[in-house]
Amino acid sequence: MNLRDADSGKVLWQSSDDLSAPDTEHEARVPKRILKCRAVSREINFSSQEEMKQFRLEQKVYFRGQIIEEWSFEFGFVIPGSTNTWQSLIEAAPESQMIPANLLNGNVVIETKFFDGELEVSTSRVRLLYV
Amino acid sequence: MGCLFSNPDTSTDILEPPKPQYSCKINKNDYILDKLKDQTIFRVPGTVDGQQFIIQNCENCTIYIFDHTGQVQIDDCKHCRIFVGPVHGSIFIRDSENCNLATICQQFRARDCHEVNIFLSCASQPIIESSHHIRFGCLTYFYEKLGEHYATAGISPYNNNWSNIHDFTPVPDSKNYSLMDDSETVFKHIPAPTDPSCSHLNISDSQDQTITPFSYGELYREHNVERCFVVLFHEANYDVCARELIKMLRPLKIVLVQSKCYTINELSADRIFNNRSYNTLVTKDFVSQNSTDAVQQLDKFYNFASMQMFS
Amino acid sequence: MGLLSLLRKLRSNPQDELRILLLGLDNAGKTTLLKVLASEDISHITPTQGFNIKSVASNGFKLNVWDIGGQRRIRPFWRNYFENTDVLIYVIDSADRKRFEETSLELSELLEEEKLVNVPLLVFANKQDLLNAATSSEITDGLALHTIRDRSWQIQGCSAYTKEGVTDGLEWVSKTVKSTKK
Repeated sequence: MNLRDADSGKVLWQSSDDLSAPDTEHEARVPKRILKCRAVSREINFSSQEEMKQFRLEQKVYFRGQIIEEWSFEFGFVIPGSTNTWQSLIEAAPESQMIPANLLNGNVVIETKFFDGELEVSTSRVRLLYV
Repeated sequence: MGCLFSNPDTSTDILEPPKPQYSCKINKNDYILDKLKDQTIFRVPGTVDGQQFIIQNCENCTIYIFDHTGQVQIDDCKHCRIFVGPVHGSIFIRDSENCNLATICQQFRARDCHEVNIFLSCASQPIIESSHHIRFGCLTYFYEKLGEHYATAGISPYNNNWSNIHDFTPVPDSKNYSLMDDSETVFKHIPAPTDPSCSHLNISDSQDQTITPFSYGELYREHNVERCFVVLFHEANYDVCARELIKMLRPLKIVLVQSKCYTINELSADRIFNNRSYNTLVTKDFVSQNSTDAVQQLDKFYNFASMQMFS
Repeated sequence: MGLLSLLRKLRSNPQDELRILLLGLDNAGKTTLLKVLASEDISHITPTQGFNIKSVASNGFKLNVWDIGGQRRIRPFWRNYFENTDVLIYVIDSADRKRFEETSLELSELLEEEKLVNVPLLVFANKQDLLNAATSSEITDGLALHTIRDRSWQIQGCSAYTKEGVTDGLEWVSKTVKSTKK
């Protein structure tokens, strides 16, 4: 998974850890300047040996346990033996509506769940630390 | 660029005037080798200079391109020996058999080939499709200007994925390809040119002179032996240091499994080394403290490296 | 013009989701084009072994660009991605003359697909910077694009590597989507 400044395409943070390891909360140390970007993109890479017909993900962003953002994406078909990437680009909220970095630090968790149809394939939780 | 064509029935677009085409003062035929038999052809540095190159319908030819190129296609060749210098984009070999190829490229692709030996320095994951009896080996090569050509093509000699093959058409219980170890050498399959006009290039395939370090890659990846992770931080002479280190290791029977050359930011360094003291990326070398650490750091680094490849 | 600016231009569009499908033979340059659209580095691209998707969302409007690998083995899977496509971008390696017939065949099969009926077509005649590249007019004739009657189409010479022509193609996409989706 990685995070980029979507205007420049520059990678701000990336992790190659297996984020799908169950029951573990991962930490992402993200540079504060990410909050100044007009748009941020997050990219997820995944491989699958098996064919999947209704692959989808649900991403929830929690701030102090409250959902502040929710996403879902329907990939549909996944080719057997494939490696795939999904990058989603998010436009930043106007600066006036932004929660300051010191409040966000350590209080934001991104939860990503993958499903094939109704079957949950994996879950990952990443806590964001703004450094 | 180029002309714009629109469908007058359904499109409301105004036809834009054609923009000037790329000037073609150069003779295209200098960059296409077609229907040659029993010949030896070579191109010395400066003669191809980043252009596309095509080799097709050749039989029993020996071809050397001692220059960098933009993109290369090799089609319908039989019993040929081909060396191609650094390719900025992809090299694509198709419908060819009983050939030997040595090359440096950003992307390697093969389709509908069989009985082909490939000595490779490839920056991304090499792929094959509908091919069998393909053998891959690590390229070891030197000619004057090869280092420069690597740089011009935007490829690092330290980022070689020669052994990490993706097969689009795998067959159950067997492999369409195999890996060669260092008992196979480039010159055994593609001898150095004997023409005197190539002598000034000081061509060699020896492990002492090669620009591309010899690495065992997937041949040793799973070997259960002691492993070490060495990092050379970037400074003016990192290349010389790396080469010297690799040279020193060889008589000690320590093998180089893989090398990588990447820009790592502070945060990634923190993750890989589990140690903040390297965050500033001091110009100091890094060696694992013990073999358990080394295995972990290696895993993290391999993962980091494969992310770099796919993102 | 990148994906963000395309999205900003289209924001007035009442339709809330736009799906662009990027297809073409292997080695045509689909992923490179996709990365150019997102202003990313194109010097280290690996052959695609599945799909690459870029999603852009803003004010409830979503743009998804799907780049599906083009190897012969995985082309039969393309059909799984046709549903709800708004624009088909077909990418051609203009310098790979050996496979013009193959690429022409794949394109004509796509144009016969029921799920792609009436879907506007942009052909990117990519790699115009290469020596052996055919011009867009040669490719237009070779692909018999003039015989297309059931959809709006455009061919655009481009080089994802030098970035020339890419914006022009995207301009056409934005104009076409605006006129067909009102």
